[in-house]
Amino acid sequence: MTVLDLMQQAAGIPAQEIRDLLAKLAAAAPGLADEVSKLVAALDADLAPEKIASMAALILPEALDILHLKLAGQDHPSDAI
Amino acid sequence: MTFMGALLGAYLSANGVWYDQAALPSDFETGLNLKASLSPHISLVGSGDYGFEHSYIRGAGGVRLTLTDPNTPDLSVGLGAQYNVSNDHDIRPQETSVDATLGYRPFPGEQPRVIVGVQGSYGLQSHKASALLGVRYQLTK
Repeated sequence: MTVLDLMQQAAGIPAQEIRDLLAKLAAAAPGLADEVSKLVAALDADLAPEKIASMAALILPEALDILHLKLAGQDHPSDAI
Repeated sequence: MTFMGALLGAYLSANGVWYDQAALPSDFETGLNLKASLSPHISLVGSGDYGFEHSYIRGAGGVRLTLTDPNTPDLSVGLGAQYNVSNDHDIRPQETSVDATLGYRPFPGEQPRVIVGVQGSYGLQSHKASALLGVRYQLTK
């Protein structure tokens, strides 16, 4: 599974459209072609479990902080009783 | 306050407890209280205490709906239900009770870990009421 596959499955973002869009960008701005090529390679690279784990480790603290703000973490003194 | 500190809490406790059929005070307890804040207004709470006068051990755990006054964050009230266990059913029957709790941090500047509170509870099977006046020292931060 690749990042583009994951985006398609999780959010319905069509992978082929992203590839086409990036190809158009590379054609329109030849100076960015190398960078776009690297980006496409990264998006199309297989996600190994260890890569997924490292991404989760990166995202999880941020997600917990958002949960802290949005859902939990109220300091009610009465909860101590 | 850290994320885990806000989500989870542990407190040393000291209570005076009164049961509706007993003399004043029924007992003096000390123990440990735990809480997990699942949402801004829903918490899991649990406690274990030892009663010195009658040499009993009791525990309770349940859920609480909690409201804190936005203008006075150091004062909050909670309504909930807990399941009670103990090694002396005459003193503390094994049953579900409903409770109302008020907690107050009296010295948020000087002693932010100190909380005082009162709780009234009513046993749904025994139909006995009890009241608790307690002091907590917050272990987590």
